[in-house]
Amino acid sequence: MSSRVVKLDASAHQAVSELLPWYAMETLDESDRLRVDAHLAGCAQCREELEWHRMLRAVHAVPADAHGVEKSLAALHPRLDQRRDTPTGGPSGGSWWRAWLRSAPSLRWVAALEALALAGLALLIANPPPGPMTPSYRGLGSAPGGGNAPADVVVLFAPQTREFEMRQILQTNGAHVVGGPTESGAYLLVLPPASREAALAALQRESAVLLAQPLVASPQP
Amino acid sequence: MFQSASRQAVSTGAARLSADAREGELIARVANGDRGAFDKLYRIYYPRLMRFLERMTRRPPLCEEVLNDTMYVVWDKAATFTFRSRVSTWIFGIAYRKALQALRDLEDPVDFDFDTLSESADPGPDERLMRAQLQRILGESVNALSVAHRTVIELTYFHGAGYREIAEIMECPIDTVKTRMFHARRRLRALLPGSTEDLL
Repeated sequence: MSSRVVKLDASAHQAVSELLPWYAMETLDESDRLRVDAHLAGCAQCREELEWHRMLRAVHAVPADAHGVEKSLAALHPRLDQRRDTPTGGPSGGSWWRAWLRSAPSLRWVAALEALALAGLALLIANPPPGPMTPSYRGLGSAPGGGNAPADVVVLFAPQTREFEMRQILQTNGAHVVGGPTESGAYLLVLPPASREAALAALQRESAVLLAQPLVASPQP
Repeated sequence: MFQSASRQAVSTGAARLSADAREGELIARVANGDRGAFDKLYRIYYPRLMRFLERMTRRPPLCEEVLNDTMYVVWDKAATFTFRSRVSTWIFGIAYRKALQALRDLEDPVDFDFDTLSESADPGPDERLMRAQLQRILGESVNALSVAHRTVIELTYFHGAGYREIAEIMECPIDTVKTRMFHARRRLRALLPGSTEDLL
């Protein structure tokens, strides 16, 4: 009986010892951190080991050097231009009309036309004609266009927000989830095109919404 | 001591959440072909990636090429990012694989002659000098580890990655990450001073 207890203690000690580097770096999740806290209270060996890890952390804290970033970025730009201009064979493959759009000499009017077509499609899908196939319910993730519509906004809800509160906020503002949740809990939403600005402003006023950031293309440098 | 660690962990977590949300927004814009957003992301990641790649490859001239190969993939594949992991996990995973690919094409001696490791100078009165010396010794000691071991050390202590995130980046089980850390720690402890009093 006592040898089993000793084995259990040694195994628990080993398991906690393995977590010490990440405890020193404060990157453990809550349950691991509490486990280590409880063990440290009674283990001098681990407390001593922890000090060594804190030393390693302090010595490692050399600021990274950003010298050379602009030169490197400038060296990469021609590759990016070349990639986006490639007419066919892209990762999204080629239905023939996509290949035709990409082969146009100037992309600006092509991009504008494409955006117009997508907005029209989104409107049509958001207001389907009534019929027997119209679903009587919608989940959080059932966005118009089958979840493939381009996102309008990235949203972060407060951690204590309940599912029915999130649902209410989304439904009140006509928003649909097209991506997420990410590991940090952010969602990508599509807003009703006709009232996008108002919906965004309403989301930003919600106390349960920590962040509501529009996804708008920034001007070319 | 533990309560203050708890408050600090919450504050660190909140800052990380905010950075994650900003990077998530940038990736979504990059997926829409936004070059301005890509340039912002590049500038955010350049110092961290450069440091990571220098430590991993031990070949500074190779690092810019691998870094740009990595960010090119970010530009090209941003639309495939599913937001199921952090942006940093995804980008560092690409960088790790690109670096391994580059190293495979080079002669990369794993063995290191410990006798050539500089001995630490006699302790002097200048704390900064001592810290710089220790950083140099640490750098040499980490360089002596295998690629996998020094990757785990670097991701943990410099980039602040948790063990689960490291497992995703290196595409290996969590237990493998812990085992690599265990062996790396053992080798470093043999090479470095044992206490902060020895340093300061």
